[in-house]
Amino acid sequence: MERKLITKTDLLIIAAVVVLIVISFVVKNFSGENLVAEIYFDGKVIESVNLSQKEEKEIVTGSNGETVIKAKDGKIFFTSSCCPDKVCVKSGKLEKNGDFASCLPEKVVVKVRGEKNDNIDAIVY
Amino acid sequence: MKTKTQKIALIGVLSAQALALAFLENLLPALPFLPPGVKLGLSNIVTMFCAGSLGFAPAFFVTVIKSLFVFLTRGATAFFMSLGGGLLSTLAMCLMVKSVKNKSGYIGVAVVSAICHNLGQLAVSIIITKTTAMISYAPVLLISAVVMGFITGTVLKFVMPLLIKQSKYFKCL
Repeated sequence: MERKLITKTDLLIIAAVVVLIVISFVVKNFSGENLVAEIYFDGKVIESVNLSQKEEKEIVTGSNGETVIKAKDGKIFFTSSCCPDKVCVKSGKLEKNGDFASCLPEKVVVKVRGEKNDNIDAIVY
Repeated sequence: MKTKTQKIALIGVLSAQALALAFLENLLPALPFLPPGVKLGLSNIVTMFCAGSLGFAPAFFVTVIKSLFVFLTRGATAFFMSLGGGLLSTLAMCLMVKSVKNKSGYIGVAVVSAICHNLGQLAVSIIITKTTAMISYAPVLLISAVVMGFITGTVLKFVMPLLIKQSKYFKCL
């Protein structure tokens, strides 16, 4: 396989992907007013925590052992898990709309969802 | 004249190299700016060489061997993630080297296969967790695929002469 390092075709492909990335970020980052963290276990929402109201909660779940999720000061994060890789704990604190962390071996997903603010500012007749 | 034995021996050596690269990558300290779960994908270098120079069967063989090793060392979840990503990215590589033979460079092949690898893993993770919530991670995965594709594609360009030399030693090229 003798070929060039990078060609025009490559640049076109990469440009297309970059456009896709930019679009996905624009779509993702609508500002959420009322932030709610949803905790999924095995495909179902087992708990939801209102982050905007700084609700505090500790959730223990998991399929092989204990996976602990903590909500504090408007942030939610995995504090510990019995999984091997600990990607979930390393994901850090979630606080923005669209933030997301998961523990695949334990089938636990945490996602922050912002409810779009549909309040009308003013009505003029 | 290459024999079947020589081909098997070469694929064995290449599989070992893919495993060694994956192991090496794990030894690197996790960089703080890297999003969780994102890796370099150095062993993709070996698979890309296989797909481009040796044929599609060796490429898939190395991919499956690598996933089996992941199963032994890191368990079932990691195995399905590795296999899902690996098979889709190897398929992408094969299509790339076949259809756009002289139009795409190393970086192009590497970026497309890295994207397919990440999308394959995303699909597997959706199946495992039974939620589509992970789709929101897709932009991050796309960005890292482009960056890592640049790195692995460039490395492949430079190690290409060595890999060819090695294959000639086994009389496979």
